[in-house]
Amino acid sequence: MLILIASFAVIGYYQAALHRRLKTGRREKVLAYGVTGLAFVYGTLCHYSPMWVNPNNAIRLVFSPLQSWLLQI
Amino acid sequence: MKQKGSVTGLQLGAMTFIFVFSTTLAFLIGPLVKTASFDGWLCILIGGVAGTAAAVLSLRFALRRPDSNLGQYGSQIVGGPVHMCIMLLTAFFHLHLSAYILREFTDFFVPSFLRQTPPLAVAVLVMSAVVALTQSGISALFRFAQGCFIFIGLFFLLKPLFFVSALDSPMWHEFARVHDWRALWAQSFSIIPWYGELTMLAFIVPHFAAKLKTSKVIWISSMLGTYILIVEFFLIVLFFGPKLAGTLIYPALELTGFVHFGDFLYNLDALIVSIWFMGFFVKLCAVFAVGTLIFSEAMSMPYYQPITAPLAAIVVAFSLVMSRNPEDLASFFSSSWPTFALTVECLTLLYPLVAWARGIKASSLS
Repeated sequence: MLILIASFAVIGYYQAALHRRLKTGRREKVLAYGVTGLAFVYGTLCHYSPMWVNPNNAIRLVFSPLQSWLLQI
Repeated sequence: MKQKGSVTGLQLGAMTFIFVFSTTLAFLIGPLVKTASFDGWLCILIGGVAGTAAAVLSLRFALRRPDSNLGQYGSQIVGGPVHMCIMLLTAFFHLHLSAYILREFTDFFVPSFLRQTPPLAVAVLVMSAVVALTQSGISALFRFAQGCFIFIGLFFLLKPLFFVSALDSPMWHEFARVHDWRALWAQSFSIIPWYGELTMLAFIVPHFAAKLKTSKVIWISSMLGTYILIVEFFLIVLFFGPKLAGTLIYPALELTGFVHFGDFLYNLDALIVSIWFMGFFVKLCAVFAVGTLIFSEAMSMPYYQPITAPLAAIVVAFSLVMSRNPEDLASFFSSSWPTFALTVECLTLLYPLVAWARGIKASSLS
């Protein structure tokens, strides 16, 4: 968890430098930090319950039956 | 975000060539030999032609407005909410694909060359390099691909010469007929989305130089990549035999272990894996960069650079949680990924279809 916090601190610092360099507006800053926040929440969830946040489960649930049907044709 | 197009025909061809065979060569040939055996080369050919055709169709529509990104004017064709859904789903697909490529790399590299190194450390280091290249822009990525193309293309064109003795085999007769039509259909279906990934080019059209014969370049380079794949498939089957090749996890990389320069230079694995890694890295960067670009366009952000690092963090997280072991990953990618990928890739075809149905001309859009 400490590694995660340290990594996102670095990402936040790097983002702030990019915002200064690109002279981005308020909306872009809010969006970019929002994405970083979401990434941090996702990273935390991955740390504590990796099976819940595995995107493959959702993809498999929807597309596996469809593929089985398609390949039977 | 807008740049004057500077991607030349050679750069586009190099990117397409590397894109087609870099990951396919390492991760797809093993399962293909196991399931389709001697019919595998036909699956590659059918998948290659169908996938490239799908990609070129969407690209041709995007090329009608060479100065604008499809992500920016697409809402005028299909409507804002539908466009937003397509963009977010396409961005997710590219980021998920980046995570898959990264995971395949760590699964292969950590046990072979980086023993006792945590996969998290390898994934973070690779993605740091990807973020650095992505920050440099799409045009820089194509220039990088052009540089790598010379090494990779030359090596894979010369590689069959090292296995001339294996080519004299009675197995050639088996390649001339179809053994199992059902396996042929199933495996061709699995290969189409690997080529269909080229639809990503429709989202970066403004980066192409003017008067570039894009469709022609893509067809030629895609078929050149297909030729390399088919030759590699023949070499693997003829050298190992279909049964042994089917049980190997990375048959193409095992095959490189038998490349020798005369009697004085053995064990070229590290050099060959380094050459292959360049292709793999180019593909990972391209897929990630396009995913980031599409996501930024969906959010109407003028710059994508500030979100590359957090999206790279999500890709690393995806790659770590997406499966418990390589077998689980392979099972997922054979059971549901091709349909998911084809569905998302075909979403790009909605734009020309809706434009045609509503009588919208691309040039009339603001």
